[in-house]
Amino acid sequence: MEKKLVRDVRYLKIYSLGLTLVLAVLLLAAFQQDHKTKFEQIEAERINIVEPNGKIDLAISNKKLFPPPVLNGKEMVRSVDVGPGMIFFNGNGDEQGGLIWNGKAKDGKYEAGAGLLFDQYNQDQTVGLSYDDENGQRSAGLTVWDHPDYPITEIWDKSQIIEKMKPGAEKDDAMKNLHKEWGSQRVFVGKQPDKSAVLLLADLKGNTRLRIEVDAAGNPKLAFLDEKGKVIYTLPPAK
Amino acid sequence: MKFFSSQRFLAIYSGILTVTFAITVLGGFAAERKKSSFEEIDVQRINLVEPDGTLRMILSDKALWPGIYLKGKEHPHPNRKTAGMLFLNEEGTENGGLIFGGEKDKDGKGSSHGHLSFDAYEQDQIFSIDAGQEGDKQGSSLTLVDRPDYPIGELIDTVDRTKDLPKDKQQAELTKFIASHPAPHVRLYLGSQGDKSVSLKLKDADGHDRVVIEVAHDGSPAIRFLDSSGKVVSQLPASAKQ
Repeated sequence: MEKKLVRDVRYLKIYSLGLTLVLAVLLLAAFQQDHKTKFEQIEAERINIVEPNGKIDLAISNKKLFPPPVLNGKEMVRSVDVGPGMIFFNGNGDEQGGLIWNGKAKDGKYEAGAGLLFDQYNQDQTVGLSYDDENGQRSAGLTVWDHPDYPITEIWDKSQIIEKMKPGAEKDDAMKNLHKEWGSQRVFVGKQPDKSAVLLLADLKGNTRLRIEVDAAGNPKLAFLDEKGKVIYTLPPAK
Repeated sequence: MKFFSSQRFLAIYSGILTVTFAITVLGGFAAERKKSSFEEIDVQRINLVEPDGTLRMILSDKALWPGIYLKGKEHPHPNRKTAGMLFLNEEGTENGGLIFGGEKDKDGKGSSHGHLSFDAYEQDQIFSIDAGQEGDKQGSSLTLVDRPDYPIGELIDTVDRTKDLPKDKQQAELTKFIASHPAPHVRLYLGSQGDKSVSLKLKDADGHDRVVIEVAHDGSPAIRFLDSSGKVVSQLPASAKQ
């Protein structure tokens, strides 16, 4: 009996010691693996990819947590409703583009769209693939834009002043001029709501100067335009 | 008798230890199968992997940005360090990517780039969308490229093999490699260039412009047809500057 007890205690001691060591190894290993965690599936409303110092590089987000545009600490409001999607940030932590999509039906009608867009430095989008659809009125294509060399926040500040003006022609003109100042579309290749397929090349002010088109009826056309939009040459020649 | 050497302590201790061990091990297994839910996650890098561990997509910041993956093996990239996404094919070989970046340099000049591309099998990009700016020069474009047939692994081997050589010797080896292998050729370019012109350029198999449809920086439109030596053989309107 006495002998058995001594033996049992010895076994128990060895067992406890062994298990303590195994647990310690497991715990240490767990802490060391801390920088790389494994999941089969992750569900989140938003995921931020960040640098070691916390600067954000990319956000994947649902609509609710979609970040507003910020430049040099100034928060602005988007001209169109976007999200969910992905937003890219540059080395300064400012927005630099994104990948967005949406679509929903309401009262028997629908709206859908998608886009991959990259921004000019401190400005708005400069190249993008996009799809827009309002109940079958759809366009899709590649677009290139030019923007001024100063930051978009200056445009934002001016737009806020115009917003406070009295409604009327003066306000509308001011807004139109600001849009012109903001930049222009230089290239579009794709299909338009009128069911034509086109390549449009525009001048610095955004006036289309060269149009290569197959229209909805299937007619191929080539047109050169002057800066006022007047067609100055066509192929096949105009009758 | 001291408590710690008592049999009761030992029995209790080993009992607790056994239970802790069981929970740790079982908990570990359970967590691996679970779908985890978060409101917001901050992370430096996420790897999307197949059940067998094959990498299919990497979402990363600049600090943890990977090199080039070829058949599941990572090789150092000579100069690509950026944030973004990298796509990999079923064999764990790089297949394309979506990268972006930009900042102000010491002299206050802003630079910016955004890039989406897809690669040929074991070769470099054949389709890309680029937006770039260096100071006041900006350009954005869509580019289609014909790539040669040799596996890009041969180029990566050369880079790996010469990485410890002095810079000039390394460059000489690379130049030799490029000269002895067929070159890629841009076949289509559509976009705006640093000179403020916009154009569509269709090129032959050797990369020469053969049809150029353009609105020049001064706004004048033109279409040109060229021979393989670059000579304009026909143009519209006939009066356009060449």
